[in-house]
Amino acid sequence: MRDEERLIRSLDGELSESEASALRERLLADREFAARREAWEAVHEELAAGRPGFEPGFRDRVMARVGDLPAEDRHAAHPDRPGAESLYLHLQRAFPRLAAACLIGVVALGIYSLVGDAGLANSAVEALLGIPGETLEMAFALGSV
Amino acid sequence: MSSMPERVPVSDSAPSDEMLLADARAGNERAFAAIVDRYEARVAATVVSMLGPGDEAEDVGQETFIRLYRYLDRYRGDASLGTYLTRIAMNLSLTALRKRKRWFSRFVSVESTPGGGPADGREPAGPGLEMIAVDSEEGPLSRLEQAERRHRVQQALADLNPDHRAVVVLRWMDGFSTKETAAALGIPEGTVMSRLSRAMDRLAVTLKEEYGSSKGDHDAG
Repeated sequence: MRDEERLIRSLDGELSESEASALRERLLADREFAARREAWEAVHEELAAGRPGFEPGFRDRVMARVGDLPAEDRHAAHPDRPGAESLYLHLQRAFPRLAAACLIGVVALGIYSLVGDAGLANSAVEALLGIPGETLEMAFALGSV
Repeated sequence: MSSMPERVPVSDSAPSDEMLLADARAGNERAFAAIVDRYEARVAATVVSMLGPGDEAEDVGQETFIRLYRYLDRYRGDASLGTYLTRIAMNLSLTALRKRKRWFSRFVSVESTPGGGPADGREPAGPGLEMIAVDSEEGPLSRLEQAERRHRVQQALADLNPDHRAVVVLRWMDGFSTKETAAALGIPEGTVMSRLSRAMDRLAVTLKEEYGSSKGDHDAG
């Protein structure tokens, strides 16, 4: 374990007995490391004691903003209420189904195109798009004319 | 998990987070107000530490709870409510810092911000002590000392690069574990450790200087 990790875990109070013992030995052997640990402890203590806060009345200011929210946002927060589901939630639910349907459609079309009609006749898609039914042999024949 | 609590302590008689959330979802705004009360200190620790005291931190703090309110139905309880709110607060704070950096780079030259500015990713410290809440049960001297202590911490945090500051705030002020911090910031655990180490060394120097100058002021006065 690296020195820094050991120090951090020490500040978290997470060292096992054997790890703590190893740390004590290390601190006794290295004065620079001991000074660093002392400085980190002081910082840790200072951070814990120096936790900042908001000005008094913060809760009331938040609730005033909640009160100012448009009805749509207020309803979005309460789906149990009738008619409360937002368009966003509807779209969120519909999107995976739509994506799955599209995927199935693409796969089915691909399979149909590959195995459905290997001969001369147009595939359904080619017929739909008005593409003439040509085979590779016909294309070569046209090219050699 | 670090030595600081993951959840805000709740007495046996107080409703649980789950109960308050259920009531808030049903439209009970008093329940939502109770959630704000319960997590105000935690959100403040995140946003004020990241942004420094001032209107911007107040706005981001409010916005954190407004986001929770607007999307109450999206919170599924995968993480504790405190963790969820801290993540929102941290994301909003980082966005605000990016906007601030863009603003600085557009309107303020680096030369005009000696000792920290957009060029090194640091921002000037907040406007001062006016945002700092004090415990009314403490005496005037203790309150003053506490306010000074908070001010020193804010100055020291403002001197850090925002990436390093985010790690310090999540690990030491919000009580996230290394793993949780890594997940919240989308970085490897090793990066959390290295950033934290560098930040701690830097803070040790800065706080020592801050303490020295503060003591000097007192001695002079």
